[in-house]
Amino acid sequence: MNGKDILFVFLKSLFVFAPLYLCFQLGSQYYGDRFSGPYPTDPIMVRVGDDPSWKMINIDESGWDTQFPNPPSNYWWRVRIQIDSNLAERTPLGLAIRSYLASYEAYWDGHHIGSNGKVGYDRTSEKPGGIFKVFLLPEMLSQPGTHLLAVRASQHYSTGQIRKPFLLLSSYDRQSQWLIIFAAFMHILAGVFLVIGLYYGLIFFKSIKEWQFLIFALLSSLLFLWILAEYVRFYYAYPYSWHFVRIFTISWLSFSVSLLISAFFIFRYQPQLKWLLIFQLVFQVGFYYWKSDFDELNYYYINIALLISFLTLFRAVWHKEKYSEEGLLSIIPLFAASFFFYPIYYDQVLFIGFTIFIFINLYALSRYLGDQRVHLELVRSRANLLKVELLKKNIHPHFLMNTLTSLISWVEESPKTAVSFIEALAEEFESLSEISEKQVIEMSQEVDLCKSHLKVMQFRHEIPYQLHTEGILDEEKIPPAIFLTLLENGLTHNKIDTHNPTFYLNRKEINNTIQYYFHAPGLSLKNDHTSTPGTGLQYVKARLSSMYGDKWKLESGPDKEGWFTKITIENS
Amino acid sequence: MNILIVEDEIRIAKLLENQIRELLGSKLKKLSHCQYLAEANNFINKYPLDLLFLDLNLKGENGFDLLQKFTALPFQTVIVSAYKDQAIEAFEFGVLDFIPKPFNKKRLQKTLDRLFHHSTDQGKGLKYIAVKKKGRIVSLPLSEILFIQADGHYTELHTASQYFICNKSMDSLEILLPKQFIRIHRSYLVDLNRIEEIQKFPGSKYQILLKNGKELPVSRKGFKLLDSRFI
Repeated sequence: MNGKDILFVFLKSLFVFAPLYLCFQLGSQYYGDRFSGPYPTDPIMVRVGDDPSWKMINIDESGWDTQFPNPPSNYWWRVRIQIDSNLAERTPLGLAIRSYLASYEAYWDGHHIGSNGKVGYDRTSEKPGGIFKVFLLPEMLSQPGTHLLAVRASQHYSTGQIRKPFLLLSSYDRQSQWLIIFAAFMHILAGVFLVIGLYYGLIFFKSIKEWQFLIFALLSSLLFLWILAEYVRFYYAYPYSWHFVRIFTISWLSFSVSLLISAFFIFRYQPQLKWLLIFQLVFQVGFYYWKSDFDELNYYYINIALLISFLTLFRAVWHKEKYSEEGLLSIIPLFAASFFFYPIYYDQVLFIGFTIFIFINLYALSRYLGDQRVHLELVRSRANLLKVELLKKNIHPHFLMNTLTSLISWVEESPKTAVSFIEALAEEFESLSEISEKQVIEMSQEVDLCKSHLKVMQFRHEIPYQLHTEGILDEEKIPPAIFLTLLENGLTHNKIDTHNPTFYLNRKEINNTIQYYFHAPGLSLKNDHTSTPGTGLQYVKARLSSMYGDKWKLESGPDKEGWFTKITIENS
Repeated sequence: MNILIVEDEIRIAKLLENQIRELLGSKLKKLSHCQYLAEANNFINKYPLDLLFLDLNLKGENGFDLLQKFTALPFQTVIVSAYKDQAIEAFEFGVLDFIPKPFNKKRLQKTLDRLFHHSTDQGKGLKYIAVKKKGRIVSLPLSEILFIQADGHYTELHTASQYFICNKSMDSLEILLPKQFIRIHRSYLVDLNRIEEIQKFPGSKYQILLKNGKELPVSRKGFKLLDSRFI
């Protein structure tokens, strides 16, 4: 990857990053005062019990505490809130209470401004409130100065965790709109992730069965679900009793996403490091039992994933794996999120990181797919070329013209022999035409082909050639005409002066490999054995590659009595 | 006439042998056959030879290296091959003829006609003549040759700056060379395009002046040939 490419990828990242950052910034602006911090207030004072007079502004607050009680006690809390002149101009004001797991009634300067759910004394009388509520403040009570918020609450549906309320005060319109707008933007992103997930899922199931595509599809789909689960709280005030179900779901999503991130890089670049995933799983389970805070837990999950991804990618880059630099680049924003934005803004920056992550890897995967297509073309064109090569064996001028010349000689000398010669030739042509369209034939066909060729050559050379086979399996599938080619090579390149020249074809199974040993008799006339292989041997090698990939080996060379060729095929 | 056939396919050699015997009859002194090149090399070194029939695709050896080697020798070479596409290159290297397989007697007769001066398309395609230079055989482009001078059984091929020794006789070269080379004298062959003027002296003595200033003698027969070509 050169500088230009890095710049290119960087610009692409910016392309994604910039609009998100802009939303983020504009959103904060639009929201006015605060985006995600609570509205600054005096400390919240709490008292267990239930007394309607506690809504009043001026009461004796001795005996009130800053500690929230453990459920199931009913309690009140009171807080003093400053409205400055700036905020006071933006009436009507909205007071939002978020992430507070309770049913409650709210009083503003002693006036009831609304309820969330229904406060009760047990589960039957309580109706759980939603996860957020925005209260409209009366304009006459929105003057600059100190105001009192008093809340009467019950938490009979709580599962034990105490969650302090999160207060936001701003103009009512913006209060009710901004988070929905933000969620809308996040859902656009979620839609993109969903489409990417579906697309790569289809690629995996319909065409290329490679794990990296499935993992990438799952990863994108889970990120889609994560966004839904994360931002549902911005527009749907689900009952607070569901809150931990949601948090728990998110936690499992981040657990899975973390594993999938590492798995994606491992399966894509370094499959031999699969054991690292077990290691990561053990750590994640360990964190789960060790940490009780879900936010912290997610942070740890993501970080172990980043660590393992980094090791994998570093090794891949070191070994110059194709597109591994892009992979490495794609996790940098996630690292940045962990290093610079935890815990404040972590969620938001994490999703920006995921977006960049998905987009860079999308780019790398599409490049990979492009390469695959080119490779496929190559394989296809090579197969066609081989087909042509095979067809050419039928009509090769050297073979055809020499054979015809010999035939003339036989016609003149012995018409009877000439007829046998023609019959032998017809037999060879028939055998060849039977296999010429095929990519794979049976061993018995190949042996027939060799024998009919030898018969033709017998008439041409007046030498009684023989083929001796040992250990071959008639039904075994092999590429067409490879032994025929070796036979032809032997006939063309060897000076045969024995009386009964015999070609040998031997098959053995050794150490989970199949070994074919082919031997051509006679003295080789080729002096330079290191020279580039002739077209015959090239044909054989191309055929072996197209059938066995790289799971074959070919050795050949002279020996005392001729020329040997040894083909070793790994058993798959 | 001594003829050698180098052909690895016995049947083809037999066919060629029969046809040559029929066509040449008593003109044939000795007809031999070698299956492999090594034998052929031995044979060539030992016995006199007038004509060589050579199968160009000899068991994996490079035909054109051989061709250069054989065409540098005094005898004429004829290629017999199934690869017609090699004919042009073979002619460039100075073979007498190229017979494609399968062949017949008529085609073979044409080759022999060429050998006995009856050919009309003589020298077509010839581009190089194999000569010896410092013990090595090199191909001298025909376009560089100004004239050729006999030197016993050999010939000297003169270019603008130097000359090369060729193993072929004047007669053999005359058969191979294209029509623009004229035998102006028993000992001289000259490229027509190199002649500046033909000079006539008293007593029916002639000579030519080449463009580079060199003077060569012209025989009476040579003058007639020149005269007929310069009209």
